[in-house]
Amino acid sequence: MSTVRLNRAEAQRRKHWDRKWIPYALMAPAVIAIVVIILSPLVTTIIYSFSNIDLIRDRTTFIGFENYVELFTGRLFWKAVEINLKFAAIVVIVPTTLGLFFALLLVEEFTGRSIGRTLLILPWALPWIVIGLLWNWIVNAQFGALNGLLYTLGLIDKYIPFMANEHWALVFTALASAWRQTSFSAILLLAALQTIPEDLYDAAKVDGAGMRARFRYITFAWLRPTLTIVLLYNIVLGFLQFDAVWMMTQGGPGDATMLISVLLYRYTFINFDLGMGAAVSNVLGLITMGVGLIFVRLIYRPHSTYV
Amino acid sequence: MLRKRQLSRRQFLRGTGAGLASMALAGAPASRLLAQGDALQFYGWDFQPDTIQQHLDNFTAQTGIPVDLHIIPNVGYSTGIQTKLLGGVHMDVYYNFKYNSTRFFNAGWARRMDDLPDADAIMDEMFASSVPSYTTPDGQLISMPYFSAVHVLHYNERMLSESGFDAPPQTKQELYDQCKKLKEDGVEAPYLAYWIKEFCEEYLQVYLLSEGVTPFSPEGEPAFADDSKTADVFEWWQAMFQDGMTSPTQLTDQPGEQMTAMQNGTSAFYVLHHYFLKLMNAGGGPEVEHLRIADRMPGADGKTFQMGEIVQMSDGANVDRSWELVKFYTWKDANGERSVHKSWAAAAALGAPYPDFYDDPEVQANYGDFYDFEQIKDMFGNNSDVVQARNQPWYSEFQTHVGDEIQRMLQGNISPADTVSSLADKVVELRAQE
Repeated sequence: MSTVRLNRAEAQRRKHWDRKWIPYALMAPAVIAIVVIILSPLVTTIIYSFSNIDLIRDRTTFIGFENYVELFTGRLFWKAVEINLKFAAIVVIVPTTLGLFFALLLVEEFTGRSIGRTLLILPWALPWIVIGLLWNWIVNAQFGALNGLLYTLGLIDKYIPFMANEHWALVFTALASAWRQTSFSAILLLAALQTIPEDLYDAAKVDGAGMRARFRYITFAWLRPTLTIVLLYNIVLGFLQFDAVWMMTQGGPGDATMLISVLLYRYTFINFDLGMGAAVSNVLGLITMGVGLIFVRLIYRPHSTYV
Repeated sequence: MLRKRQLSRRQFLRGTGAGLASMALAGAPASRLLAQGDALQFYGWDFQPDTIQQHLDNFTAQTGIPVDLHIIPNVGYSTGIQTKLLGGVHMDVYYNFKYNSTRFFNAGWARRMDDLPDADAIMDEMFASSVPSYTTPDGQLISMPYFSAVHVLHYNERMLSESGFDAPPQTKQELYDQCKKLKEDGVEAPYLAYWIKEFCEEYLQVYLLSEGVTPFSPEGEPAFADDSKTADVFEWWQAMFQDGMTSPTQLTDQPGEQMTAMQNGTSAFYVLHHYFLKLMNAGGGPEVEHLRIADRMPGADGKTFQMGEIVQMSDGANVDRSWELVKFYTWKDANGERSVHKSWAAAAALGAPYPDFYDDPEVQANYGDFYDFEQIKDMFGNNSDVVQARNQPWYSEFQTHVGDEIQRMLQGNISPADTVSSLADKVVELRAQE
């Protein structure tokens, strides 16, 4: 009898032990994936940023903060930060605003709405390299579509070499990025708009809410989480955009479009200075995360009325 | 009965796992065999991959040696090939950029070739001026020519004639004066310079050589900094850009846009590789029939810069077969014909550093009758130089620095004299890090 009770207790203990490990076992594949795909490169990049890496001779020397000191005291970094902030401002403001506008427009019933929605997706379907090439032609000083349009409308009497001007070069590389991003933002916001229950508006009308109040307390409140995602995505792109800018200007003319990502590419893939590249990468990651967090804190309210 | 035949989820997963495992096991020896080099592994960038494949097929047909072709896009090729090599991918023969040649050799990814059969004969056949671009400073042959080109001054003969000039300019000042007159006569941006960042360095060599400046000492020291003519070149560039002799978009324009400007007649001068004349002719346009190549670069010395890209090979068990492929691709095929270089001549008027190449009627036909072959041959043989420092491991970082500094200088953000100092300091710094 006592042996039977003992066996039962043992079996229960084992069962309990087995159950205790089940959650960990289930989580393990995801944890392993996160460690391998995210954590390990992150840690490696941090270690690299404190090292001088000679890939050819397979020699790595620990050099402390030297890469960071060189980066922060060099001519290009702070300029790249300044340029990138301006670039990011355009890439965040333009697509978010226009995206919201197009989403609000295309959620309404009107003839040609499906054509409008199809056109909206087109820029998003193009690769960044193609976007760069396309915008290079659009702003071309000899036969660009933009110059043609302005000339036809009588707004200019001579074609303007936009990409020769430092300010216009920055504006148009940012607009090229914003163009595709507007499409993406609008798609997300349109999807969110379509989930707003119609009776919320009806109830608000009964309560005497005007158009502005309905937008503020229903539409905007409902869109807030999606807007946070859109903003975050645009901020990340504003700091990490590379392809289109590289295609259009390679960081020029002069340093006009020298984004931090362009600097990162040059250090890592042209100079093969992995240590400096890692340092730039870490700083870029911190800047993006910092700015992103500020916006999330400002926009996202987890306990807002409808979310 | 039916139930028994159905596959449970567990059985399916087990079966799939077993299948994948057996496939992996079966695949392992095959991939190992491949790595050992049953077929040679050839890597190249994406300029006419079908033609490359055709060359490799011809090689296999002539020698019986099979070759696998791997294409990596030109944009990012250098990064791609190095990443693969660092990851242990085996390559027997591969295209490379000259600035990588010594670095790859030092890393053990490329083998010397001067100890292999026919190497001496190959070097003897080359233009003497071309040889240093394939060797280390101490004379070891570490690469072979995929193609060669010389920078030339293309000009529009009709426009010059209508503006009262019966010959292209011989000096920088003459070029400036002719541009000024052409601009007064209505040519929008008379001079085209390919001043995008990654190309400024090649331009630097062209103009230093044309003025008779020695760019680097044999050891790679910045000899250009000791010659006052370097600052003169920069002052002239600055004047050309700031006085509107060039299009203001020159710092970001691509060759496609520049060729169009020559083809349509919005520009009259264009300095770039000799093969652009063929590309412009192929593209057509109202001014194409008036485009010519000047006998010399404007400048005190009139010399120009000879460039090109290369083929390298790795060491190992496949050396003999790889060398056969390298010779076929960069020198002569089994029939003694320069068939590969001839096909590149047909495709895009690419050159080769062998004098007899330009005497070949087939090559001349492939280039087109708008070329003067004595002139091209003379430029390769007598009127151009290579810059051996460009093979050095530190050079690619110098190139990016040149792009930054030249564009700043053209925009007037840094003086020509300071640009010279900045470039020289960078060379010293980079060489010290080696």
